[in-house]
Amino acid sequence: MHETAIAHDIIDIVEETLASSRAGSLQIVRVTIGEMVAVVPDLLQHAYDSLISGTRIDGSKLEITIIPISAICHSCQKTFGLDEFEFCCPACQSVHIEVKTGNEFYIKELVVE
Amino acid sequence: MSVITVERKVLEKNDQVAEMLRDQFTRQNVTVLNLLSSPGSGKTTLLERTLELLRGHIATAVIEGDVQTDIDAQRIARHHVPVVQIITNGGCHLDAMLVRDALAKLALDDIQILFIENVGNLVCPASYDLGEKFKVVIVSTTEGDDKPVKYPKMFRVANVCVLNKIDLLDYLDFDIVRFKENARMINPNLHFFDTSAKTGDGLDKWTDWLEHLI
Ligand SMILES: Nc1nc2c(ncn2[C@@H]2O[C@H](COP(=O)(O)OP(=O)(O)O)[C@@H](O)[C@H]2O)c(=O)[nH]1
Ligand SMILES: [Mg+2]
Ligand SMILES: [Zn+2]
Repeated sequence: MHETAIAHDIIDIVEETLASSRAGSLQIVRVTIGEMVAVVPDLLQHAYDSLISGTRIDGSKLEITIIPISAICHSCQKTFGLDEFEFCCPACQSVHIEVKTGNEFYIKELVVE
Repeated sequence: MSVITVERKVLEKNDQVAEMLRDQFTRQNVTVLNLLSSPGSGKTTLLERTLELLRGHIATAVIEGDVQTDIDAQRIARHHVPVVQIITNGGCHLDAMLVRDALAKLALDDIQILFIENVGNLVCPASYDLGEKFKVVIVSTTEGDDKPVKYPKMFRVANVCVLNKIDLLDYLDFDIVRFKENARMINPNLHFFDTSAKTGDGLDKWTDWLEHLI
């Protein structure tokens, strides 16, 4: 799956950030992933671990925060969470809803020593 | 311990290149469709039929994405349409950088519709913008009417859904109504075409739509 490609992208951004910050050794990479993003956190963690092995960020860890899907209904203005991928309003059944969270996919911050 | 704020999108590089491609396609008046499906749902067959039906009306070209082999590109080349093969060597999706490199081998100025046949996979390609105007998800009736529920992300990002192999409906317990309900639940804006790339059924509506794009 594409978790390896994604781990590469993460490492590139991490390396760039470290290079421009004269920081010490990397401990944690905090990544935020929305539930709509088709990434399996365990696979990503594994891919990351094996790619950094033997590099100068060996030993650092991904810390993944999952953001649930939430939406607002444009018919009744209610805000709600979506457990299943059923994109309709639980209050009024309207499908005119707008997804507010769940598409996030970014590196939030690095923890260095 | 100290914290360095990053706040950068993981897929920013792909998204940046995809935006450049989108600008380029707009400038050169090329309509680009990204074809997405599981392996075997009929992307290449549908493309072959489509290229024949559009011949003489619309200048087409194809980018073929495959994990291995250029068999599909050879099938397309038989229709005398410009085709570029991308072999991903195991990679499960095309990304914008691969498409940018492939474009070097195409004369975009002479092309009105560019089809990109993505790697057969309903998960990973959903995350990668290729600068296309439309994402077309192709599902065949043999895959079952619960496909949208199993791959919601793909159905959420798609603009168009082609239901292929409708010639087999009599032999399957595929419920077309339930399939579309499932899909619309995930994406109420999906635009459907029902086709058989084998018998040609439904291809007229599909190619009419394509002709109206340009
Ligand atoms: N019965 C039937 N078979 C089809 C249809 N479209 C494609 N096929 C067959 O499905 C198989 C896979 O098709 P192909 O175009 O290679 O799928 P791809 O992997 O999505 O490119 C081939 O044997 C095709 O002949 C269709 O509409 N009806
Ligand atoms: Mg194919
Ligand atoms: Zn509502």
